[in-house]
Amino acid sequence: MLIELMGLRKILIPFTILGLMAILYMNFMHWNEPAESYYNSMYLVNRTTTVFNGILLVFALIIVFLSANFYKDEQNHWSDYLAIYMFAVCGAMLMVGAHHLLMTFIGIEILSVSLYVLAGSNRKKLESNEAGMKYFLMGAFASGILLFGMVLLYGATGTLHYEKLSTFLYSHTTLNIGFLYSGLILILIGFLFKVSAAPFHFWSPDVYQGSPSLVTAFMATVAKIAAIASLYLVLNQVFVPLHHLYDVVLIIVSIATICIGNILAIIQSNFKRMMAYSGISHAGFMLVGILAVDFNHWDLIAYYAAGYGIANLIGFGVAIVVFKSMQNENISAFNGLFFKRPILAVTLTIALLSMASIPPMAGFWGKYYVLSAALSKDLLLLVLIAIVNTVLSVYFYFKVFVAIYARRADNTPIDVSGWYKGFLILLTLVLIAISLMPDMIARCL
Amino acid sequence: MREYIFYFLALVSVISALMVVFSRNPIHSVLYLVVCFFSIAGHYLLLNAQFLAVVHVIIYAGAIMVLFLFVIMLLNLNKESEPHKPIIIKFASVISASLLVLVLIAAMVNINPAADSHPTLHTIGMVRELGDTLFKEYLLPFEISSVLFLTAMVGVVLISKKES
Repeated sequence: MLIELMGLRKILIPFTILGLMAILYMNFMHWNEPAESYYNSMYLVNRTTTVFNGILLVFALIIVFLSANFYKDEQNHWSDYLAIYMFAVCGAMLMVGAHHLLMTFIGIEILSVSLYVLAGSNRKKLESNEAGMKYFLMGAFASGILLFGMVLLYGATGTLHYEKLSTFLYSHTTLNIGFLYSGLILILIGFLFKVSAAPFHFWSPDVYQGSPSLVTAFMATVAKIAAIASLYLVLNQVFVPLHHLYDVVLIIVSIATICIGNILAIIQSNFKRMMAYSGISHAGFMLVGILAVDFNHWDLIAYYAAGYGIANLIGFGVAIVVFKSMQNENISAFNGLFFKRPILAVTLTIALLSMASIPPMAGFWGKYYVLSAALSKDLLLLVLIAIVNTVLSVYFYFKVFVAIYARRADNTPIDVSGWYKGFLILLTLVLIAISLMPDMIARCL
Repeated sequence: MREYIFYFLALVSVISALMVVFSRNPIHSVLYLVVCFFSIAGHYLLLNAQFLAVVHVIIYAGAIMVLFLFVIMLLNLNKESEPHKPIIIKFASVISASLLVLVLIAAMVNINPAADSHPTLHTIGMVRELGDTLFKEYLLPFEISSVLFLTAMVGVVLISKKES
């Protein structure tokens, strides 16, 4: 905002990108050093948090690139939008790096408050107002439940620090059972709301549909992956001694999430709503990962998250320009895209193939790793249901392909600049690269 | 001496709380609520929680009460416009309030006050202790929460800025 006052609006986005790159560099500076915690061990830096934070930062960079095109018509709000996006990224990184439940909570709140504002940021559109309002009310309740869970946990154990909590849980197995269990359940509910898992997913389709498309892309990638990573770290660093309690909950929740996400996605005609349900089902798969993957193999979840996120960003990147020109957010907006803009059509196809987990793509490898980890834990029923649902999911992604390749195009032209296309092609190449070398990436981590 | 002050404050807070509910004029209700908040702040002082007492007065008796008064003035409530509630709603609210009281009493019965004699308990609410913990152990969350407020403020600006 300072920059805007000085009349330097043009350098705003390059400045933000430079800043993000600097943070990305600082993030990986500690790559080969042992884990270290800062500020009275409130914030932890180790391999896991570095990789998850790196993924979040790369996605934030992509979002900032896309925002230059998306907010072209509202240049006097640019600085506000960018500031809120950056605050949201800050919250997401705090969620991942937190080593104290209080920090986790503050990170979640920063991310959520930014998203409430962004969801309602298109003031003239009724759906956007509705989305902001709904997200705010539901999210505030979820945060309250999460905080209450933490309070009960504090009452039972006397600390919220990850390491102290986990040593406490290992040494006292029967103390204050009621407080501890209800606290754990409430914390789980709060997190499951944030990742939009099945019984707590009702906000997600409405909010995704109503929000401006770029905000939807941000929610589907940065917010969801931050929540998944944070849940994974909390469960694996703190609550491992209680895993017999939450395992059953997570199994049921992930089965329900995968089924509901895929089955309801089939009947959607709005693209963003369909992506919301597909995001729900992917969250279910990542929950299977949280459930089944050992803490030493966290790279599998990071791989899944990276593949899912990049495919999502390409999909929304194409959708943003198409929706803007067609003034329509249904799947029918893609009718005959291949004949109008072949490059956009092909990038979208590759992204959706990855999300539908067709074999050589990143989505397939992600699901393969997660489900084979689940198989090694004897969760046969879960794996079977997940595979059936994967096959089902191909159907609604193919509805988009039918629209792109087989439907007749109308005459509305689609404006897209050359560098935007180049950027999408670059992203697609990155997606193909991580699809072709899953083993190598997993070994590097 | 302490006990007399406690009974005095307890009497004041219970009576003013009852007056909040029973007085007909909403402005009177709000003023009684202010009295109630002040007496509760007195209880905090008795329990050695100075910071909590000050914050309670500033935020509740100050900011929130002013908000209440503004809302009441803007709504223009008076006796004539007050809707008459049907008997079944009164009945239901009495039952639910009694249930809440029952739950609270059930929870309070099991509290054993003798267990609260932890050595640091008497100083834990003092401003010095609080500052020590806040600026040493919890420095990062304290500083980071400023980002949270900044986000909220920028968000308000973004949503309410006039189109130019």
